[in-house]
Amino acid sequence: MPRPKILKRATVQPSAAVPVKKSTPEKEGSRQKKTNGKENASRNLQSNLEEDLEQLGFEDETVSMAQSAIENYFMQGKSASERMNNAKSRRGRRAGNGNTEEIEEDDEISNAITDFTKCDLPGLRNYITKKDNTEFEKRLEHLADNDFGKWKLYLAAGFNILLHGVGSKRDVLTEFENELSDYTYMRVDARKDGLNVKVLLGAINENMKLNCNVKRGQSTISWARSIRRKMNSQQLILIIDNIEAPDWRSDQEAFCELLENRDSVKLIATVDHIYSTFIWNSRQLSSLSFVHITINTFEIPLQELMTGDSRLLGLDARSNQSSHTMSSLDVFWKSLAVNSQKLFRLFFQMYFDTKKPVKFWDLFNAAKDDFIASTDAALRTQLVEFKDHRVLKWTRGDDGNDQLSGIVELRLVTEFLESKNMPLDEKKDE
Amino acid sequence: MTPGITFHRGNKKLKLGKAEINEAIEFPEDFEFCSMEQERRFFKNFVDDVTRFDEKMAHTTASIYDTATNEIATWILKKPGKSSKTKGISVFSPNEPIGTLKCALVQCNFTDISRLIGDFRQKLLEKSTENLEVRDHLVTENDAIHEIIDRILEKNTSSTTCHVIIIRQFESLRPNFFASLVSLLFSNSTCRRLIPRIKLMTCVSTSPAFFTQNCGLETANLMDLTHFRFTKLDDIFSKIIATGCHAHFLPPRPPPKNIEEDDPALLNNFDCAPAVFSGPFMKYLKNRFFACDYSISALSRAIQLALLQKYLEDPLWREDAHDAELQKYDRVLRVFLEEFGENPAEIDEKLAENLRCHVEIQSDGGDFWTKIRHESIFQERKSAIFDGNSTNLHSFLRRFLAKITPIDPKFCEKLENLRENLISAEQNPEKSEISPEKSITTTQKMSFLEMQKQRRSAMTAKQQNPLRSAKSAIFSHVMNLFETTLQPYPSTWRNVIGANFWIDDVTKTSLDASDEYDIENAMLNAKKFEKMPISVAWRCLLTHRNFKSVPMAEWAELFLRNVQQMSRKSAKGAFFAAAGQLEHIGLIRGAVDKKSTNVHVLYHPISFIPDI
Repeated sequence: MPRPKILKRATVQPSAAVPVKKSTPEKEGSRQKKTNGKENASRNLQSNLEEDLEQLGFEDETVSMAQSAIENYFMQGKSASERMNNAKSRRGRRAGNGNTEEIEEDDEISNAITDFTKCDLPGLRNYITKKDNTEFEKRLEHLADNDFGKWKLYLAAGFNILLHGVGSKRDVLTEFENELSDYTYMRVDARKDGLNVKVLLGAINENMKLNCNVKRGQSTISWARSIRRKMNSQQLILIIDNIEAPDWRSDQEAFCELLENRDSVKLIATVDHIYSTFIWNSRQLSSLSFVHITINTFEIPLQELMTGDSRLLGLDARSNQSSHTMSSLDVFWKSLAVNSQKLFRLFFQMYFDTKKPVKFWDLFNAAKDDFIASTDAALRTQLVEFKDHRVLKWTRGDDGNDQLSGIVELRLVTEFLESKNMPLDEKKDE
Repeated sequence: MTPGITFHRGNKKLKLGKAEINEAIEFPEDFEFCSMEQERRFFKNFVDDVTRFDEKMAHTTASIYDTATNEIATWILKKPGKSSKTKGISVFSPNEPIGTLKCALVQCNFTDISRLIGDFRQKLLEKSTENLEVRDHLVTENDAIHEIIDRILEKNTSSTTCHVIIIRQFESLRPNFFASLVSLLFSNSTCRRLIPRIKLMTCVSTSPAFFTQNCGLETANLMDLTHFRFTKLDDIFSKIIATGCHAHFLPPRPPPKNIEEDDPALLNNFDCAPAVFSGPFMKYLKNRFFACDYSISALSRAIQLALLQKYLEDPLWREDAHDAELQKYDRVLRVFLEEFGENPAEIDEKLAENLRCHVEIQSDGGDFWTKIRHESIFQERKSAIFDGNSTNLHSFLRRFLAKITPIDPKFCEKLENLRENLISAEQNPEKSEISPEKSITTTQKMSFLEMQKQRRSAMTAKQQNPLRSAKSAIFSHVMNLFETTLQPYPSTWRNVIGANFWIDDVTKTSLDASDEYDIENAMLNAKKFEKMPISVAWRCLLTHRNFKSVPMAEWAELFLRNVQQMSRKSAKGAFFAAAGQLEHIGLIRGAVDKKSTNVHVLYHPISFIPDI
């Protein structure tokens, strides 16, 4: 029963987005393509799959126009994954495929499996947001009724709490904050970029009004010791998510200094990594006095994944540097002159024709024939801009001449140029 | 405001008070405190048990530490004799007799170094007088040699000042640091004159051999080296366990000075906490102490947490007292060790032996008696008492009856009967010996048939020797007492702490980190979570034929086959969510090559076998 409702919601969203697209005459081409897709829907499953992908792209375009940082971050990963895996496999499959039914069935199965080799981040986000959390909410209520009082007792008795287990535990700590509303506490997200022990010490110094600023040449450990002494009779409960974050691993000695006095500073923290306790040695573990509590929530850690460098999801730094989206290409396109726009199409036409890096002089000859550039210097000026925006890669070939390689995926370029009424040759689309 | 940090100011302080205790503890429904005094006593006991157990341990173990520290301080400040001055030969001043540098080498485990240095400084301060001013200098791996020399050569040093250089840990010093320090002391003309008043105290954690091997021969010749051992770990552990065990192991303790708030009425009791440790818990403490880092604070923390858990499970566990059973247990155990133990003469001094046997009884249960019968010590003592001459057996029975009669009168009555049987059995062989003589003397001629009958009756009488059967009956009866009394604590006793740590379906609380086991248990073993996508994904990955690197397409194919009731779109989202989560946990990693679609398995389960 819930599934048809989800499908209905999916169908409603495109219609809601149509008025937005009406105001943009440049996107009429995508609407026509969508109509063509509907006409061919009855042919085979592959067409339906492509239609679903188009709908996903449609949603992505709408969301990305809202200037959401999270969406752009996810879109980057998607493009990187597609560029890594899909283009080459698709090209190879087309070259070797026939028209028999058996081959078509194999194509369907292979295509289904191929979808699982690249991560569709918008689909993943939709799956996470729509996931049923009823069981987890019941479990959370059980924790709030039975365990949170005991956790407070552990903290009061001089122990610190370390939560670990499979799944995200942020909601558990958020619920536990309600229990601590009468006390002074500080919630810290250790996976936040730029947040480390020094920043934490500065925040404690500022919020608790200790007036104990760091001195020149003072180490983090001595600063932590000074803050601990300045605390006197005040009390602070630290609630730290993912204390095993990379930025926190090297400053645990200062952290132990801060927690030396169990009455002043108390700690409840979470860890996810399987080797998380290796960041402390035996002396530090002894001073921290952890009570290890295992909670297996099996909740998908969405925020942790976003701030992580997952290669499987395409979120690592190398993938982010070489990825583009429809919106990013659109912004880049608007900044180009007419000649540069023509050069963009010409370059990718040549690049995808041969599937090899394009030699500079070949591109120059073609551009000169189309009156795009008259001299090689002018062409270089335009190509440098392409390079700076990570549209192409400029390398030197074995023969000593310059070579140009495209970074943007074929599928993305095709869709984008069609939306600009400058499609690539039809033969390549087939 | 710093991004990622939210601050909330509250009015209260989180401390162990009545409100926090009442919120966490669930009293029985029909329970109410009879009086304010009873309620006050309950909360006071709660706070003392949970937070002040380390004070009890400190009080118990203080005597051991003080004895060791005082021994070191006395030796290091002792005035050297005249003969020691002529031992040293220095290349820097061959014509001048200087003497040797006194050095105390103290073997101390890692976690006790701070305590050793603190106590040692205290002892030096106590021994300082007007005629002898003691000044200590602590040396760590971060200090430079010239700083040490500068501190010794301060201008205000008087002729009666004695400098004690304390090296915190020899293993952590830089190579040749110690040799350089000693050489510099002898080479500096000003320091050379102060050699008789410069002392060294070096801590070493591994073994004294490490010091002698890494210290050069020339340096060793310049020092008067004496080895000390700071603590004996067996004695320390025995004292700690005896503090937490039922107090009959020790005589009533004197009133502690640092717990002034104690109720005077409680001083008459054996111990403030009538708790007893379960066998597995004592075994855990033993492993925690000897197998890890000899940390006393870890033991204190474990015991305090166990007491806290006991209060959470059963707030009124203190009402359940078994003093009579425990007294019987202690006395019977003492008698057993005196009669069948290894060192009966030193039973009062060997607390470790006493506790070792106690831990084995509580941990192994019925298997203990099966094993003890096969031990050589037990067999030797048994044969010494029950075999051979009856004199030993009679003396054993006299001692045994004198000790056991106040404990178990019924047992002693039966033992008295068996003793009378033994005495009567000892007299019966004399009568049986007379009759054969008479028969021999009366009969002049004997037929073959009569001779056969006579020999058969003799053999029958020998087999049915009443003396042997009487001894066997006594032994069985004595062992029956031991085996019925020396058993693990019954599960119905409420004052046994550490029986099992609190575990339910959702959370598990423990003092030790077991992340690997918990993650494996959650995803491979727990039936409750076996259908979770991440569990299915990990099991599919582990059961693939490749051990290290698995193609992502094949992994996805296995996942699609095993995941249940999920559409393709949802399955794709679940698959990548699981993959991202596994990578976040640290179990897998994506390939470095961007063109490759392989997944590297970084961790393979140890405790469980994966199965789809």
